[in-house]
Amino acid sequence: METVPQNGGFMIAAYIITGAILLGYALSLYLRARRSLRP
Amino acid sequence: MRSPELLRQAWAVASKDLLIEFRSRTAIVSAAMFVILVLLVFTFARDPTAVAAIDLAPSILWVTLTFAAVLALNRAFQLELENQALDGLLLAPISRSSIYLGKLIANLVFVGTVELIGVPLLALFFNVAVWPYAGPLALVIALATLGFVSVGTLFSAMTVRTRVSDLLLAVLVLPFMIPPLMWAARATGPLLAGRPLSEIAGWLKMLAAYDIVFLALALFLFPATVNE
Amino acid sequence: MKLLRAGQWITGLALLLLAGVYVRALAFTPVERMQGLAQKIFYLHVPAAIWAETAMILVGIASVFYLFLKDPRLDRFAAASAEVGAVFAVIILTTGPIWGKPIWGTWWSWDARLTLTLFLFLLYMGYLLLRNAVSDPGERARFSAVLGICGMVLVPFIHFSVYMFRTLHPMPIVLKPSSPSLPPAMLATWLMSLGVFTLLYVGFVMQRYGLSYLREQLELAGDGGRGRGEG
Repeated sequence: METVPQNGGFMIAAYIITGAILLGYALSLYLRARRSLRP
Repeated sequence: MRSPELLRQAWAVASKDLLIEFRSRTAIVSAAMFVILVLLVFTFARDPTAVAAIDLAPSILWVTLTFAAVLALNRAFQLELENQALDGLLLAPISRSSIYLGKLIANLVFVGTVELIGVPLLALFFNVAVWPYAGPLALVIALATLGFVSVGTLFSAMTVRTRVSDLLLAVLVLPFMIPPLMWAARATGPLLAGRPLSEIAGWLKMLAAYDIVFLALALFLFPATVNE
Repeated sequence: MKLLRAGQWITGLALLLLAGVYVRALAFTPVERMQGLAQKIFYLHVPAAIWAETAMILVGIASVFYLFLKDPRLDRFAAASAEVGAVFAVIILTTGPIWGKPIWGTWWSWDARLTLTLFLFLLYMGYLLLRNAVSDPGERARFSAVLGICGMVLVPFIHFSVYMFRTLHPMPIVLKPSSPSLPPAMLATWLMSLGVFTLLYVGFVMQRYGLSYLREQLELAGDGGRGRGEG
């Protein structure tokens, strides 16, 4: 049986970066909304 | 509107622009100098022992022509900024399409002149034999130029009144210039290496398709870029 | 602003579900034997890619209709879709190379799909920059509609020209006309992820749309000087 390549680090990096981008954009939208709604 | 009328009006707009250009000559001389200087930059930034001139010539040609065209495109509508000349043009009893066509023709003449200066200089500086392939090369250059000048003229009407118009136009138009540029560069390579014309027929067809689609689109969209 | 609030709720829900997808993808989905763990990047990469490309098409369609109907809602939607599309394009452009390094052995290759995504990103950025640079709302809407239509027309040309070269990229395996060649457990994870990304797109666009609307109200009220870039 062939060995499975050891590249879990890449996977973790990709998951962290994707999460950070999505959370960052969500936060940016939230802050912009709060700023616009403040009288 | 009948098409001879459209072309006559377009020519009136174009000849007005070209007359202004011919009277002052600043823009065309600057553009020609720019082309010479870009070619010099390439000459001195190249390691002549590493890459043969013939391999690099298509890239140099197309990089130079692209940047010269981007710079030249700003000119067409900048002319109209002074004294609200664009409003006068829009009030004139001519159709919006003919204004676009006129600007396009003037830009084509302008960019074409720059290319007429640039190509012989490329042949001279890089010792590339251009003359034997002059006909097909002119066809490739003409097709590519028509494609990106028609998109660029449309976009320059939108960017001209923004704060960073030259930079913004370059950012908007370069993604649209890259496909025709790529096909033209791929066609120029085999052409200058003396391959038969049939080898580049595919690229020429792509260029022609791009020209037709974007010229038609620009004619249709141009009215939306000027005041109503 | 009801739409903005609803968008915030949907986004919150989608982010919670995203955590669920992370858990399922990382812990409960079998490891692919040829590619190893890096294959799991696919569960994020492909849904983001699908929505980044769909967002561009939606921008183009909204632009076409805007030019005919002159309805400001279409313009707001196009602006929202472009911004969210740009965010998703960034996700593709970062996760793609991270997957490419262990599998292809190189971070970047001028492969057809990579090039196409890069162009997509450049078009989105140009679109957003143009919106930022034009201050008159009517002019901004017309200009960006023109650019949106041109961008939509350009995409097939790039598509053609990049596919003329050989590609390293795996061909789409999920949406193949024949039955999907993915094992059921992996397919389920992927479908969940696609659902979550869809929800994220909807939530983000609703919020962004609401923001444009608020900004326009403020501009109408004569308070246009506060902050820029929500156009």
